[in-house]
Amino acid sequence: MRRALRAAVALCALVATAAQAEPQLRLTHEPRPRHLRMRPRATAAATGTTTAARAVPPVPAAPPQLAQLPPGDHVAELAGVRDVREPVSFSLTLGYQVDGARPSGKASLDAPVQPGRDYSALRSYGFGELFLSTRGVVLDSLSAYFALRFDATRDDTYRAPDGTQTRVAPPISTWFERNTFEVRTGWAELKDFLPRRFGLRKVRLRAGNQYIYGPWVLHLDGVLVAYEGDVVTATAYAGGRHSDYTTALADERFAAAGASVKLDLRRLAGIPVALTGETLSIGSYVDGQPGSTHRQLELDWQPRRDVTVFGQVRTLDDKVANERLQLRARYRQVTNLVVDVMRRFDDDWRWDPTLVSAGGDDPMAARRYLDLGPVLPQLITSLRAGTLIAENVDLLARTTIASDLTKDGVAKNSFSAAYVELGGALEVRLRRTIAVGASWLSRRSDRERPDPIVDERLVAQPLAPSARTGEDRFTEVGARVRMSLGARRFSTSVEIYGRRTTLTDAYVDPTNPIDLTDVRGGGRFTVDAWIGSRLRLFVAYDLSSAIQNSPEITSYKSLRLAMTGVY
Amino acid sequence: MTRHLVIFVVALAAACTPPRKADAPLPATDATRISHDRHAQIACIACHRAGTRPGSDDHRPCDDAKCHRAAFTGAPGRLCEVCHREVTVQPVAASLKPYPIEDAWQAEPSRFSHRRHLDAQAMERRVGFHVTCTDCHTRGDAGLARPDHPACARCHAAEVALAKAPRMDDCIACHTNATELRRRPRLIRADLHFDHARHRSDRRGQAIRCEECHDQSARSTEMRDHAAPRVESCVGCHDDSERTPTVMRMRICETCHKQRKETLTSIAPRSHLPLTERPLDHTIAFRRDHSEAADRDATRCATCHTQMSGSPKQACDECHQTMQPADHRITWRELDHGAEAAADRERCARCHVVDFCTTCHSQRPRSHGFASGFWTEHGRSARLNVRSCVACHSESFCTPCHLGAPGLAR
Repeated sequence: MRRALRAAVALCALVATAAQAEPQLRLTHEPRPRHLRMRPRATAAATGTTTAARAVPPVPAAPPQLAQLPPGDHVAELAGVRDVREPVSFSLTLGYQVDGARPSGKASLDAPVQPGRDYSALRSYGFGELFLSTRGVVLDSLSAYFALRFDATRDDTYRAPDGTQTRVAPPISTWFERNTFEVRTGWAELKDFLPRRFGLRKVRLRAGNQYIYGPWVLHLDGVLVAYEGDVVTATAYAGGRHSDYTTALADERFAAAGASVKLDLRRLAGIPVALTGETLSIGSYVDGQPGSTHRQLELDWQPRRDVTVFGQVRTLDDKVANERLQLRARYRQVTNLVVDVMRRFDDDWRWDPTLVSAGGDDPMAARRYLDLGPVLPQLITSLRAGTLIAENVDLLARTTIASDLTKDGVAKNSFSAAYVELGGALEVRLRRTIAVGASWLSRRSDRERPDPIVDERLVAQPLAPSARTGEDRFTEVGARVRMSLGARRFSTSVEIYGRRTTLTDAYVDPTNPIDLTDVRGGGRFTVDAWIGSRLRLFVAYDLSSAIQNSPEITSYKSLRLAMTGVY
Repeated sequence: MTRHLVIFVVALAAACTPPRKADAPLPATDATRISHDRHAQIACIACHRAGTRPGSDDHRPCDDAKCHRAAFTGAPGRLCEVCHREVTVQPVAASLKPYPIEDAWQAEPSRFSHRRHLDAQAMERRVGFHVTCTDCHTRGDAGLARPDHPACARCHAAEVALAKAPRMDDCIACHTNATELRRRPRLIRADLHFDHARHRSDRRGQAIRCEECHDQSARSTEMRDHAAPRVESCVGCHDDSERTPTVMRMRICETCHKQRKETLTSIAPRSHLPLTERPLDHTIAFRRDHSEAADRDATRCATCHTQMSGSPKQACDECHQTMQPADHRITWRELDHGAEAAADRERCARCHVVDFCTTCHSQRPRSHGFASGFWTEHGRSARLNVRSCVACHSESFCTPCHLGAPGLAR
């Protein structure tokens, strides 16, 4: 009882003390301004959800931080050009093309030509392209890419009175004369699939039909393994060469295997040099073409950010085949200078690594048609310079000098003549979206010039030396007007051009002189329009002038229509 | 012809006209202005009272007895020049200098960070809410107001008691003891005009977010690196017919410029081009020699160019297999390509392997006519250019008839 009384007195004293204290009237904080978009803390709201009896509406997620967006500006705008974040994307193009060479009713230079029998005045075909790619489908580390092409054309043949059928030449030569369906590219790639230990995460594995860029642009059905580190980049690949645009006539098989190692000393030792060594072995299963081994050493020296000196040596079967030295300089983004010196030895390949020998004398060997003769040593020096003046005038000037390094007494070749080339291009923007351009190219060949062979009627003349034949010089000029509202919006262009070619006077016909000058021209009109961001319409119309040396036709014409859908 | 030539020359000269002269440099430090360093021992609020210009209240507190009283009782001197352009006694005149002084040195600049204030998640974590641009840059009748001290006080007042945040009475928490050039307008200047009030919503009525133009603000950590909007951000909307009426398109200079029209002598700069137009460095020369750039930074190429694979590695074929060079015109296949292949076979071989060429070269040309007629009538074509024969026919094909020939060594 006594204890309870004591507690009651203490409580009363405490209450009395509290009642005697002054009230707190001073504001300790302002209420939050109404216009601020205040929301309860996300964490507090979550806690409240679990403890409160009443359901709390879900708190919307905070908006993304702008600072976290990629550094590329105008992401939304560029995403309309190409969205790289979609796991699946594909593009399908369907098109129709008509090529024509209207008969003029005149004979060709040598004999009458009859349309429908000797050539088709009109040829139409359909074509299509399908591109499909996936990223992270099935496996996060797996991506795949397929590029398919198909053509549908009518087999144009002429049935002779004796019943034999002959294929009729198209109005304009083309590489396919049948319905084709080909896989241009089709590969699957795994990357980031190995553990990080020992840098294995940087290993990339690509298998399938793919292009490999080494001593030669190699189209391969095979496997590529690549390690892409900061200092060392290495690749190894093997497979069978994939024949492009092939028909049964040219279905030639080669096996190829190669490897490359690139050592970037910039990151290793601070030396602005990158060294690359590459090797490529071609195993040939074609008569007359031996297997070959190609090795290439590259040195890439970049003393300044915009200056690069690039040296390259390539061997064929351990003989030096090609040397190249190149200087590339850039000033303020828009001024470029390239000096390129290339020396080709007579051991170089004839066209590409699969054509290193003249092969047999089989007249039906299709490959022979592109054998430009034995390689003759040449020194080709090119200078290209361009700049952009006042953001509006785009200029390019270039010159090339090809010198013949053939030793005295060695037969020269029409396909390896020395020449001097001058060219240039100009584009001036006259309006915000309209630009006009002009181009010019002139080349003069330096060929042997013995006395021409005088023609005698009804006598088979001797053949002129190879080095005596071919073009002597030509000049080509062109002009173009372009209107563009930007990529994937609308653009159109009109182009006209003319070309004057003078051929060498290897023969002289006193009774029926030959005009060695060929003047022709043409034009092209294109429209590239996008409807939204998914559908593209493309139209191109090409027209040539009369062809002086093909009097049997009035001109070439071509109309191409294509529609592309993109997802 | 002459007329067209004149137009072309004028256009070329106009395009070559150098860009506008750079703005005159800002004035050097004004020696007549007050030195904050000399007044460092005085509390800020001793002079900056209630956000007004110091001295505006009948020269208080500058004429305090402990300070510059003597200067105010004598003849006008240098102290007057701190605030006045000129002080004369007869007649009495004392025109004031503008305050704050634009295009001049600014003392004690703010270290305000847009990045910190616009980081929604960080702000939510620390104070429970996030702020948007218009919380500070309030919209009034006269446009968008520049934030002042009351605007900051809404959150930074001592009464709000934001944890770990500067308070208004702690001046140096925001103001640095430094001097820097006050930023002059960097985009809206000269004959440009712009009205924030007209950019609240687009043609469709949809709100235009501040960051659509001020896309760099959220990355700015201090005032000096706060980038002005770029013209490219204008182009995005003013090229879009759904967002901008026709009369206010980018191609109409008067939309933004008071004294400019698009003529042959006033071509819009590259920044005014459509966003997806070629980049500045994609000149004709670059297009001719882009292999190095593509090798060093393939990802940049993949930003715009249709590389469906999504892989920047070894993907040159995606363009090179689908896009033709400009010189591959209608006469290319039958007439022009031979000279080019002879001069620069490497260029051809980048895309075409032997099979491609032989497929055409193994076809019978149109000029050969039907059956064996051309056999006896080919002389004229051969005399014109016998190389067109040997592109397909070997020497052994010709020599049976053309005996005694020097030989068409190939």
